[in-house]
Amino acid sequence: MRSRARSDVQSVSTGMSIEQSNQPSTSPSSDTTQRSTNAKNLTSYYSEENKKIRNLMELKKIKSNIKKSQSDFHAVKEISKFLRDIEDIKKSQKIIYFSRIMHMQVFDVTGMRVGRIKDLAISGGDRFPEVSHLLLHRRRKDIVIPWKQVKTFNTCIILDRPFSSVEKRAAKDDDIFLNDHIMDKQVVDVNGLKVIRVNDISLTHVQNRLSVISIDIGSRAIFRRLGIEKILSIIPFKVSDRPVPWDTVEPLTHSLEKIHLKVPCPRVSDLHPADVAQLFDELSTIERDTLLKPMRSDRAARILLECDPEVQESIIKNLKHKRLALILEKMSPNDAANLITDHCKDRIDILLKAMNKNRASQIQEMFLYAKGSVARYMDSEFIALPQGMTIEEALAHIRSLPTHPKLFDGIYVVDDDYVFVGILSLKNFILASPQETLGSAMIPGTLSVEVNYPIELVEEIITKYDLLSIPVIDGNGRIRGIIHIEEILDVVLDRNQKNESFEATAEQKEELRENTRLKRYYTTLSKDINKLMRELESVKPRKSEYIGSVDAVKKDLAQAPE
Amino acid sequence: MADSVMKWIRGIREKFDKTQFFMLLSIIGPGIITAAVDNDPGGITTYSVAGSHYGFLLLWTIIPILIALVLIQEMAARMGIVTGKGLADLIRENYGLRVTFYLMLLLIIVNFGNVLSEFAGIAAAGDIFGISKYILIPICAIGIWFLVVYGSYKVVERVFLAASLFYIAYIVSGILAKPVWNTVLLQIVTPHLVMRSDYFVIIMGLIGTTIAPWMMFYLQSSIVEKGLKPADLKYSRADVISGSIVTAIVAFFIIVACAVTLYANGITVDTAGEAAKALLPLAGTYAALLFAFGLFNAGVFSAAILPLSTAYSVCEGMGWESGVNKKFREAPQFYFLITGLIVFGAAIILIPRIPLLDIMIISQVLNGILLPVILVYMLRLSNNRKIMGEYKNSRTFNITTWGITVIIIVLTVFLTLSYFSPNMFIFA
Repeated sequence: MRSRARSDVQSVSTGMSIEQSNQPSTSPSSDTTQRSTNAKNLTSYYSEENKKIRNLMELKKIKSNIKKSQSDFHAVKEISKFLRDIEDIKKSQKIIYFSRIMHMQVFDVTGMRVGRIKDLAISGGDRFPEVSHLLLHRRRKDIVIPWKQVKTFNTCIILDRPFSSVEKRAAKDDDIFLNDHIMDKQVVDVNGLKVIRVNDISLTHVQNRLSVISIDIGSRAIFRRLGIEKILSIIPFKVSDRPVPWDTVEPLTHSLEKIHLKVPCPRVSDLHPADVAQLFDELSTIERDTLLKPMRSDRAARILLECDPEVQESIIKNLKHKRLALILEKMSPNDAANLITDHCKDRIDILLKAMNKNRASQIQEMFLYAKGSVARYMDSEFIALPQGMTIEEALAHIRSLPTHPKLFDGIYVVDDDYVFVGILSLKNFILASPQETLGSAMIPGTLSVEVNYPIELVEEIITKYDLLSIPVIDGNGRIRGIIHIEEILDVVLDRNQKNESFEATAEQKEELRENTRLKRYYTTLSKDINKLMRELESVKPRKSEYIGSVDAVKKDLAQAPE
Repeated sequence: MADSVMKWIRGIREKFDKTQFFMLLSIIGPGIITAAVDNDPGGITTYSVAGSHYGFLLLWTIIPILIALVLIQEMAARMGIVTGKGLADLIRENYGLRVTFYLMLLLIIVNFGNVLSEFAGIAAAGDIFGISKYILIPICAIGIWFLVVYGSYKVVERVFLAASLFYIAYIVSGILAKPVWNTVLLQIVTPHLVMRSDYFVIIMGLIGTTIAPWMMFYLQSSIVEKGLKPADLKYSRADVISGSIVTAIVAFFIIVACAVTLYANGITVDTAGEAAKALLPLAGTYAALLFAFGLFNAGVFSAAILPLSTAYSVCEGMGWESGVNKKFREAPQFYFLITGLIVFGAAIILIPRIPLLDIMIISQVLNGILLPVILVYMLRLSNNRKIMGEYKNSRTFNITTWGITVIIIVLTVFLTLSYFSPNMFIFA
């Protein structure tokens, strides 16, 4: 993640330097014809901006390709390590299904039958946890004994010492058991963004330890567990295993919170908020709460904003006032106001009281404007500076600000009465000489909208003049916020969805998701695991395949969208 | 004029909006809807047969059945609210794949019987209208399939609820028939045991049709869908109780109407046309048409909801993808189940000279037989402190519900025995 961010910054700076060479200078217009030419200037400026963005995107692509070839080295190293692991698995010749181990008879070294296996406990190894203990069912009692004391196991389990000298203890609350906590439960598939049910668990020997490597969600596991796997050889159609690597799933059970004491649900917390929102669609309210509870409120806020209205409704209904207030605080006032009017009008007073005063008054102000009005969509985080300030001063001022707006594409210049007078784009801000005042460097702007305009009007203006954002002013010309094109995009998309004129097919949605998701490295890796596991299952393993798969991964990596 | 009416309506709506009436309505629902689906053609037929064969003698069963219905549904609702999971889901997570698989297999078989009885109801209605079942059933089956796969479930539900107002006809008819109310009230509280195997078959049918196993899955899932939380438990209880009472009242009046109009005149219901005569006091010569309409409506909508509910439960338990918004390729098992239930259900009814009425009764008896199995698992689940926490069953609750379960099991054993030696209980 961090390296990604750095590469973005680099590509931005490169983009700027290229722009510099082929960019026509924007001439400051004379005062008399200012008004008429302003709009023209502004449009030309913005179409410039669009071109620049296209250039930037090209550059980014090249950059990321370079970066990829660097990380390729790293990836190949990782993969070869994984392949070594797999090689180990191969040596031991098989994958052991948990369902086969369950209820196995246990004997001690003297050949005395001591009981049956009831469960296996796992521990450690964040990628592939190893089996640490087994739960023995003996004379109606459950005893936990260490796995280390198991000598062999094939069709039954033989301990390496007489039963009397085996270390024994009772099950503890923080033991994690495969049958109790994983088997038959629902888990989150972090790659597929789906909730899946565990039909079986695959274990294997890695470096002489019995480790969990994947869970199985295929129908073959169902037949296996019902003891009718032999039928499958008669059935004409193919029923296969569908393993999902252990390190890409996230258990959902409450009791499993203890596995990840420090970071609850680490795999889900790596996901983009939009992906989590998609996941929330499939979860029950209680499961959603489990995931939401440990989250920081700013992340919760971003996820909440990405959710479908029905999901928002049910989440908000279940949140306590205090927590909800905290989450709403982290949103921009317009988003918070929209959520409140949509879902929790009845709690408005309590919520506002629980928030910090400043934010509460900002949100309250939003209620003054009608629901479809510009104010409800504007971003009230922006940088507005007086026109008398020099570039140097402005830079120092901006740097000293405690927080910065999420989207920062320029400086909005105002006069002493806070009346909006013009825009200074980020580009011109950097290019201008340090002693120049903002007033002289800016493009005097007249293109703005008023707070109570309907949002549809802004849509028209923004598309007509090819703008990326537009300032919002009140009746006195004071600047109150910014409308970004992404808000307009949301409005347009929402409306289209309501009209159902744009109905994406399941495949299109899938494709969209695939493309937008951050492709982390292990996506390709997990594909490989699946492939290898399938191969391991086949009767005659071909050795040369492994070399091929490294190449395949390399190729995948090269093609993977950033 | 129209303006003032609109104004008036708007005024009322605003008023309700301010009070929490709609809030209540939005929580109340699953129980009422379940109750409405509960009175399907199988139900109407079983009640009619009960009334026409034994007059008021079976009226006493209504109160115990109502109590059992309330307790069991409350348990399902509570489990749904506390765990946020459906019944199939809970069984799978706590009893493993094997148990789930066989339970789901049983559920499919029993619900297939139910679907059969819905189509039998449609065919019977067609008989009265004079439409051949060879035309009506295929058309209905195709229509239902499209309704389920492409239609909006919410719309189906609404239309169905509105159409089930038809049951009011039975209530009016029962009152117009002028039964001797003193006798009726006395009969409600006096249990009778007639030692005949068909008496027990009908009792089993009454239990099975009123407390059908699929209802537990359906109710719990719709409560989970609503995302209710423990604070809503009291609303949900009110919902479940009112739904159960509606079911019981409808059952009561169907039995009374049949007892007065049919039993008193020595008519035993053997065909749907005879069952229709129970509506004579209300509709006179139109009784048959009214009855046929009700049967048809109940049949079509139950035949739509049952396969859907079955497919959802089974997929939930087995961990398969489900949902009508998924493509066939994404959720093959789900669509196979829906299609299979509808197609085979319709196909069997098309067999010439198949006894429609018997199918309806037998399917209800099958319900009654599966019921204790589901009940045992429900009871064990809702007594598990790990799952239910402080919301686990109370002691009195347990004693009553285990009692009910045992009684149903004993009845099932009785019934099975009497099937193998039919003369065992016939004393009369």
